[in-house]
Amino acid sequence: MNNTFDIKRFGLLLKKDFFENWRKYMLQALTLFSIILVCFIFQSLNKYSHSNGDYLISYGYDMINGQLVIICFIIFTGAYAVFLSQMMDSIRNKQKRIHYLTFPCSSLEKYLSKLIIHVVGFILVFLASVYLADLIRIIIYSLPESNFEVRSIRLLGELFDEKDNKPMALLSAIYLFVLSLYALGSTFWQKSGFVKTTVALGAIAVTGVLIIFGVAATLFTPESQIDLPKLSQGTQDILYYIATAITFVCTVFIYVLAYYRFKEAELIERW
Amino acid sequence: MIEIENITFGYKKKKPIFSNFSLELEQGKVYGLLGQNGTGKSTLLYSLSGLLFPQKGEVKYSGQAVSKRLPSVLQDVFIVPEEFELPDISIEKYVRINSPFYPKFDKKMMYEYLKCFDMPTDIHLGALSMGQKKKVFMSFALATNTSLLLMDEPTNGLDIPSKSQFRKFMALGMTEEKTIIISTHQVQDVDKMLEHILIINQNEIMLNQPVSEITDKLSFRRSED
Repeated sequence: MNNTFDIKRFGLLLKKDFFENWRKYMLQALTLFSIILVCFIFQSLNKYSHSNGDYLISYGYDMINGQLVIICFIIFTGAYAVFLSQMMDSIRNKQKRIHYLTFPCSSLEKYLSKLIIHVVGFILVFLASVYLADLIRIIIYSLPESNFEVRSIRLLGELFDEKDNKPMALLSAIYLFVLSLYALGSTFWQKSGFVKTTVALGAIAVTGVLIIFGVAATLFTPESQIDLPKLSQGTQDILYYIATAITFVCTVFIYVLAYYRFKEAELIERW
Repeated sequence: MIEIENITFGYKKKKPIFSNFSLELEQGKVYGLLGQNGTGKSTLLYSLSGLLFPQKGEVKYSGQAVSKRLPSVLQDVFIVPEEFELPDISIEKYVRINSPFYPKFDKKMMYEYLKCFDMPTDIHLGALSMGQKKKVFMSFALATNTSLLLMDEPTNGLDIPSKSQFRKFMALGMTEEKTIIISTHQVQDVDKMLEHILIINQNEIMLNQPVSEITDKLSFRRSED
């Protein structure tokens, strides 16, 4: 018997995790979809009505595409952080801990099951919600009596359409790294995980900034002249790639750290 | 079969509940784990099921460390805690989702146990009272046919008729392959089914003897007065 990972057992566990919580997941998906739909409709109403139906379609996609993408980004960040914070909901109280920790699956299978539902599952539901909400928006504003021209949302193209995608790739890596910290936070705080993780991250960020400024103030005076070396484009590109790769590795490391924290979970919390 | 080897455990570092505590339990017996409040009965059960890791020493089940929580060990150990939660689904679905993880699960016996408790089989777990949920959960626990079954205050929350049903239910489910450890204060509810008594107090095993030996030592005489 494979005590680390068995695909059949893992499939059964995924099914169990989903079917025992399907009501909660359905409610969360509906809430997410509703928020996206309301924001899309509101933004369309706000923008299209003020254009008097007489506007240009630039660059091949809807004039409010950028705004819709920003809305998606904000909703994705908030919802993903909240959803990830609930990743360890199965051990949020004593009763649930007893059941989940003694359930006959390996810690790796239990963790991967949660990860798949809360990462892959969330992204799929989010994308489905965005495209469904967008479809409804298009249907509403494509009615024959309206003289609007609407186009479907172009989600990723808006972010990665520029010739030089390296800064965006690095920013995306940093963004995913910060979000992964909510998964780690869920292993420390199963109750109010989102709030506690946000506060912790805020405290760490403020402390980091204060330390950096403190060190900089100590080392450099207003009269100091700093000559930074001028880097060639090739060197800059390499630095971008290295920074992006390191950030992705750090993101994976955070998820691995969350796994080990979960693996060591007992009936009581130990710090 | 179950070896507790020199374990030291405490919820706080300076106040251990167990200090170099050792115990061996044999297969195929029904143990009654008794003791005052706070002596570590529930802690012992949790340590046996891998829910708590001792600071020192090891708890082994059939030679494997329980703290590793290997599926091969967990599928042969089941704990019925004093308080538990059941998902808001039908019992049929609950059995369908959870039983595949226990290779020796017997669905037919599950429904026999429910019948023992006068519980219908077409019920929704969300609509049950705590006592009813306990009956369902204990029926599932016994139906898993795990070699080690741990029960923490199993008759808590059961009404008087149900306590009588519990005795019949346990008699139905007991086999020579099963080791059952029942931690309880309600000794009168389980006394007839116990084969071995364990009393722990202040990190010491005050009593670790079969019921037959205890009863042999006791004698009752009618006085002339």
